[in-house]
Amino acid sequence: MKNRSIKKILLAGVLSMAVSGAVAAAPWVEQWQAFAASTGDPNHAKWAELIASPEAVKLAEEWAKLRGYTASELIAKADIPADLKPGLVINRDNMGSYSWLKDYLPPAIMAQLQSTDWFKWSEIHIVPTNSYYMSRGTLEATREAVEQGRKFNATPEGNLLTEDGQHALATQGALPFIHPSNGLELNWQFVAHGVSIDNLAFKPVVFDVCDSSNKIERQYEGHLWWQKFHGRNDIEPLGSIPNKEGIVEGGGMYFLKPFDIRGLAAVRLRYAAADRDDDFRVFIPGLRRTRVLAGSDGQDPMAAGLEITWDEWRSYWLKTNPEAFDYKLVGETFILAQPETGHVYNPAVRDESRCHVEKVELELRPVWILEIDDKRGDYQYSKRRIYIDKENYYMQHEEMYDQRGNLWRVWDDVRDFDPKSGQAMWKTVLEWNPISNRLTHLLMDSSWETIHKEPSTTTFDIDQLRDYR
Amino acid sequence: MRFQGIRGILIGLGVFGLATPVSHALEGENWWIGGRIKQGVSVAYDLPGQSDKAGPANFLAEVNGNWQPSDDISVKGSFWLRGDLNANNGPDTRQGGIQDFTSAGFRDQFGFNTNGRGSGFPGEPFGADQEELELFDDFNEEVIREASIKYRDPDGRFAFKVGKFQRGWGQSDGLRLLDVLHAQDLRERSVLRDAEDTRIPSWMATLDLDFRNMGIAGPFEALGMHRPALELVVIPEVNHSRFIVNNPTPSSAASGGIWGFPFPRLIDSKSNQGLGFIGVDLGENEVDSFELDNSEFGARLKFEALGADWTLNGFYGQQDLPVVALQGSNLIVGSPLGDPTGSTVIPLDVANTVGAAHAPGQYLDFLRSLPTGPIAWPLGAFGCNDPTVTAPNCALNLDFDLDYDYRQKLVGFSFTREMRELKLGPKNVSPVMRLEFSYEFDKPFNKATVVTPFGEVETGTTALVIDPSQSIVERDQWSLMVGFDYFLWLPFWEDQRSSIFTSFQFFNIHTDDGDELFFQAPYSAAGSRVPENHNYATFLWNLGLMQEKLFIEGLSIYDDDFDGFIHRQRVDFNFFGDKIRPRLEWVHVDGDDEQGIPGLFGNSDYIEASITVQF
Repeated sequence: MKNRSIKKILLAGVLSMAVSGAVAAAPWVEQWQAFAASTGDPNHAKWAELIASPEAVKLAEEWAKLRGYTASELIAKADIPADLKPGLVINRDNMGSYSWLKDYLPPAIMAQLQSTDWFKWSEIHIVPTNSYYMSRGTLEATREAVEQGRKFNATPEGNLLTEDGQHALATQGALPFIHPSNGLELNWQFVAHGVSIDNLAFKPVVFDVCDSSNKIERQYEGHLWWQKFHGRNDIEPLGSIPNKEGIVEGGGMYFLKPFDIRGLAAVRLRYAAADRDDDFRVFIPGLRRTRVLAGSDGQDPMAAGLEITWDEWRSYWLKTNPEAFDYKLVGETFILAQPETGHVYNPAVRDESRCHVEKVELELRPVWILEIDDKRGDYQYSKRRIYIDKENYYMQHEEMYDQRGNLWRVWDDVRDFDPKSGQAMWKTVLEWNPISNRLTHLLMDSSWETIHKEPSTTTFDIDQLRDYR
Repeated sequence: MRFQGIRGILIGLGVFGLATPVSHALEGENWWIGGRIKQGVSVAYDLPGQSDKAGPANFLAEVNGNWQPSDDISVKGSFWLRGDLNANNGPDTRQGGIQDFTSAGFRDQFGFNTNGRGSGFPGEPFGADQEELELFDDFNEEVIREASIKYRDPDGRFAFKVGKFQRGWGQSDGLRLLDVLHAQDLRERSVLRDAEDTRIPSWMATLDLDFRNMGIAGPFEALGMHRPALELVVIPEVNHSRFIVNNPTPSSAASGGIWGFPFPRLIDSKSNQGLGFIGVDLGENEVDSFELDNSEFGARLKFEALGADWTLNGFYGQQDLPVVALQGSNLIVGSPLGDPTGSTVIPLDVANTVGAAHAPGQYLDFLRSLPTGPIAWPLGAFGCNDPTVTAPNCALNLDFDLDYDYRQKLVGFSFTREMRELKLGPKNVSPVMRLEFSYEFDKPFNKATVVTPFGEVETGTTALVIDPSQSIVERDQWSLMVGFDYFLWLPFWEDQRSSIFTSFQFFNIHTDDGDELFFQAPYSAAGSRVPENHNYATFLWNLGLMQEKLFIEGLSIYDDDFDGFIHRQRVDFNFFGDKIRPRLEWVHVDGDDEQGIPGLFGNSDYIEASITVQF
């Protein structure tokens, strides 16, 4: 039986090489094709087909050349347990058989795998490691910066400057530190990743709020947009959005459900200068009036009952401030994380309650561990521990600790990553609170077909957004 | 029968709402229809001389919808059907009527039943049905809340919106300085309602111009005015604020329930006697809508400067609130309570009314002579009995117009800035400063002191019985609000999940020679006048507990000059999913009679429990 499976995998590999013109496929492509053939899952086959496309492979290889490695190569060089391989299924009953599991599974996920009541993760399926990367435009801008030897300066005040003293993220589109040497550089590289696309639109994003009894307590729905204002490399207008000088990016959201908050609209703009707080405005339908909120306070939940605060908008929205935080690169490791297959399918399947994970796929990822410590003790989290992927510089997993050092919130998401373009939006986010046993689940419908025309010039004008619907 | 029909509709819609999961809302790719049913019940617990009684049972059925035929066009509709199930069906609640001519010095008031005819003479000869409050079903004026279409230029240069809708200006909560585009509907509850609920939408059009996207921002940018944008507003449909005076006068009887404006105490300031045998017929002098000459126009320039948001506002509109203009009177021969039914009615024009009141030997002289020895009864020639001798049989119903036909000419500015330089509290959060200023030209007031054609100086209520050309004057008025919003994190609350939103505001409203003016005619008890600098302070806070399922909000207003206080406390119980929204709301008003706004509603305290089903 085992031999027959191996033959199937080999045969699939051979066939795929034939289809792609007898050129040796990238290892992650080969592994996925073999895996898809073995599972027979059409989602796996579709994903394997997508990452095997010539433009995807080419883009991945160019990124690999720039950064000097791929995830597959790093894993191949590492001492990985032999049974940690695609096809392995781990559940509460057999997890004790894998003593190495604690070294690769973040503790917060391990806890959910062990859970018998709240927010259970019933079954983990190991899938092949992918290659993740950013867009061609970002690649070219970054490559040019590397080739020209351009240096970026992460100042103690919290600015990221180019050599001529300009704010890097408000003037150009290259990533600043593809080989970060310390925590602050890694933080900036992560920040520069942004949303990994010039324009982003979720239509809609649905928030499910699960209580400690695993019941949907509330549900919100809205449309959400994001836009990179400068260093735009992929979506017209390239370069800069007019009239956005000094502003790095903007996010806007219009709530559609439930009825009593329909029409609530929020716009948040991130200024490049360290000493300038966000511009944060909300249109309150009950007043028919726009209110300016404190950009200095992003520690409130985005809406009642949510675990996601404004500082977790697009996973990490805290403004870089070395005076208030220590940014420490505390290590490198491999973790099991959800694959970014949202463009084809969601790797996590919820049960009927929508508050448990019935089955989730995880892949092995090489990560840096970034710890952001609150030096002054006045922030909601005493520490964030962020596992940042070494390939695409985006987080794979995040832990947030309260001021007493207890794990308070955990973020784990799935990107809607298009391997052909290297652009990404999101598919799902899980943010859970192990203290009060609450979960916020986000399901996003990335609007790929409209991002060439939205967000529009008026999306980030709260006085226009208020009349969106 | 009518209420059974309404109840049936509400129950049907409620069941529909409960049966329809949120995920199954009526919607398509580019359209959506949703709504809510709200029903409240309340207890009025501060009724003078009465036990606690059931208060208003307001209901609201709301249907909203939108359609987006293209990325640049949005169509919106919102329709309300609302009313009060207790209007005319609730218990009798008693307020003050006309002056009681059986009381010493006529200083007491007869009673007035706000829920139908009073129990009878003596004591409570008056009352009125709450006809207006029963069901607000005028389609144009009350049912349509929004019916609009908006076009946005794809390049962001302009946006044009036309239809019936509302737009809020300014940054003030509780008091309106720049939020003047719309009149207010004050009939259901007059104090501390949500602005969205009280604004009266109008058929109007707005044009928003973004100067940067139009490429004409250069001159503004050169002046340091960044991101300039201009908003132009045209309002052809002119509305004035709507309220109900609890009027006992049989020929003009009306009731607005516990939130109706009380009938004023009619006291002669010279003799301190009540103005017995006087009723008031109220009419309205409104501005004709949809006439170019009467249309309202507004403009607002928005820009950023000095790290703040600024607006410069201008409004050429119509007054929302009235002045009182004497139109004459009717002498009622045959009813001392002013009931024209079965009586002889003798109309008097303004001049004769003024004469009947102020001329030597006429009504006021007679009234003032009563404590020391009455002079000859002036109305004997009309067949009216001398009330000092025999049972009275006459009354004079003064005919006043609530006159809205005055232009509102206002300019102002607002300023909003996060005070980034100031980091406060355990989480180093910056407060947001709000500043708002308005200057209104020629605002009409009723004069509180006049000289009659007979050379007498009259002050207070009696000064209103005068030709309007003498009674109404205009003054410039400026208003300033300074406010701070702050997200409060408490240092001793380690598990605080979300901040407490706090907002403090201070108001100063300056009116030259205010002591000559009625604060709001005809209320003049205890010499209520316009303070030269009228100060208010407000405080708003809200707090979410239990993962924001329990939401508590308080809003207080303190009137420093009239020593009045209003508090609204809300508690939302969001424990029942997304469809059901229970709320408790307590409104407490404390003020001396007729002293400012709090003084008008000092006995209107109530607690309302409501439940909203939304879909």
